Formats: sequence, C-alpha cells, structure tokens
Amino acid sequence: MFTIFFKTIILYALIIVGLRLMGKRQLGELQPSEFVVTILISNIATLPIEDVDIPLLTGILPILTLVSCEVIMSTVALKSKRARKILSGSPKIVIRDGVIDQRQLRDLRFSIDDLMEQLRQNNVFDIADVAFAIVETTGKVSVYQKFEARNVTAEMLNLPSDGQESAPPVVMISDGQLIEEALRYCNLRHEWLEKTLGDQKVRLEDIFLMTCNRQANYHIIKKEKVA
Amino acid sequence: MGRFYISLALLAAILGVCTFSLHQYSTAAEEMTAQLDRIEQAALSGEAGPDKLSEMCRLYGEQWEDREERLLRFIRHPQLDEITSLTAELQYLATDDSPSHLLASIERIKVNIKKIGTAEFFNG
Repeated sequence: MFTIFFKTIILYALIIVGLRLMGKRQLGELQPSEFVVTILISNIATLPIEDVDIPLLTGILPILTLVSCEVIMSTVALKSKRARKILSGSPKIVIRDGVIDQRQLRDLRFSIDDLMEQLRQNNVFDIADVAFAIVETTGKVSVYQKFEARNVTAEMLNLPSDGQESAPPVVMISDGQLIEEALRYCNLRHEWLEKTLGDQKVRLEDIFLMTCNRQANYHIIKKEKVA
Repeated sequence: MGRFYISLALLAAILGVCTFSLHQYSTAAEEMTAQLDRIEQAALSGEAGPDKLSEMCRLYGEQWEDREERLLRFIRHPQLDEITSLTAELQYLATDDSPSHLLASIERIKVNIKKIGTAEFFNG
C-alpha cells in the first residue's frame, strides 16, 4: 500500500511540475497538440498507480518526454509561422458581413448549431449583426460585430476620461494578509492603510478582501463571523 | 527560452536513462545467457555431476537475484517474475537423472530474456 501511496505522491508532484513547465498557455486555451498531451499525461500517470507491477519509471519517463516535446514544439511554433500552421492550423473566417461561408463551415465540420451556440456565447443573437466571425485554432469563435451592433463606449459618446482608464484595482488585502506589491502599485504607504482601516474601524485580520486602485479608491469586504 | 532549454536537458536526461537501462539489460542478458550456456554445456556433456550442476545453478540463482533488483526499476515485474520462478527450479532440476527438464527450463529462461529485450527495448 505504501508503494501506491508514494507512487501517487511522486506522480502528482511530477504532473504539477510538468504543467508548470508547459506554462500558463496549457491551462488556458488548448491547441490540438496540447489537448492530446494533457489527455495522454493523465492516462499515463494512472498506470503505475493502478498496477504495482509497473515500475514508476514507466510513468515518469513518458510524462517528462511528452512535456519536453510539447515545450520544444511550442517554442518551434513560436519562431516559425510555417510550423505554427502545421501544428495548430490557422483561423478561418466563417461569417463575413452577416453572410455565412458554408463551404468553410463544412470544411471545419462545424454545424450551424455549433456556430449559433458560439455566437450566443459572444452575446450575439442575430447573424446580421456580425461583421466577421472567425473560428480560432482552438475551436472557439471570435466575433467582430458591425458598428451599429457594438456596445457603446465612452469614446463614442465623447465622455471625458476620469483618469482611471489604465489602472485597474488590485487586491491589496486577501484573507487578512497584506500584499505589499499591491501597496507599492497603488503608490500608497502603510500609514495610509492604517489610517483607512482605523477610519473604517476594522482590523487587518478581519478583512476578507480589500481592493484598491491608484486613485486610492478602495473597497473592503469583511470576513463573515463564524457561528 | 528557459523552458525550452530545460526541456532539451530533460530529453537528454531521458535518453541517458534509456541508454543506461538498455546497457544494464544488455549486460545482464549477456552474462546470464553465457552462464546458462555453460550450465547447458555441462549438463549435455555429462562432465559435471548432479552436485556440481546444482552448485552452478545455485550460483546462477544468486547472481540473478542481484540483477533482478536492478532490472526491477525499469522492466515490468511479471516478465522478471517468470524468470525468477524458472531460476528457482534449476537447482533442483539439476539433481534429476535426466537433464531434459533442466535443459527445458534453461531454454525457457533464455526465451524470456529475449522477450524482455524485444518488448521493453526494441519494440513498441
């Protein structure tokens, strides 16, 4: 039983390391090769755990090989457009100015239901509103709407900027812990924080979440009292 | 590019491990086969008596135990278990009047050694 336990721990750690080595892209939108690697790794990892007669190396070697190959291939794809095209394909335009390219849909084996579902997920319910719809290499659809269907922006209404446009709020306190980088990002000091918490009559340890931006506009959520 | 170089290094290390395991297996297979050939020769020629044959098989068994420990790290256990169970019989089969059972077991061990090489190293 200890063998299974240790094998599980080792393979678990190895998969975490492997996914970290593959980078954040792996955990977000998956290219076809990345999807294949993810499935393979999960299947391979179970083999030495399920069967004690299979050596641990039989799990470790293929996982590391897959991870290494994936990183190398994605680096090659980064440097070479041709390699990118071979490995991941290229985006395809399926709607132009409200008109569906049916041949492209057939080539992609994309049904009209798939297309409509993806459009709805992009908050588009009328194909006539679509200037361009592109099926990305991951299979997701990106939509560029016609001008008259787009959401109104501040620029369209000639609204003056309030100075906050390029400085989103950040998490300053998380579960009672102060994040120093956030304080530096907002150009604020500890004294300001202490005064603010004092004014709000709340202690650092009692804060569940505090966000703040560079204009020192903050929002505090206190921890719920446990009964 | 850091990840790229780490991956290259990992692949190199993996190839190193594979080469090492292949070397371990090849060395073990060569030595075992040579020893088995000597026991086979001794049994066929009749030069060695049952006691001597039994002693040769016993020594072979001890050496197999050492090799098996190393081979267990990268070869599936059932294949090695097969050789271990056949090896355990050799010492007692050597005391039989007729060497046929001993020779048959030796041949089966050799076939299993070859099978491991084909399955684990040279084939899919």
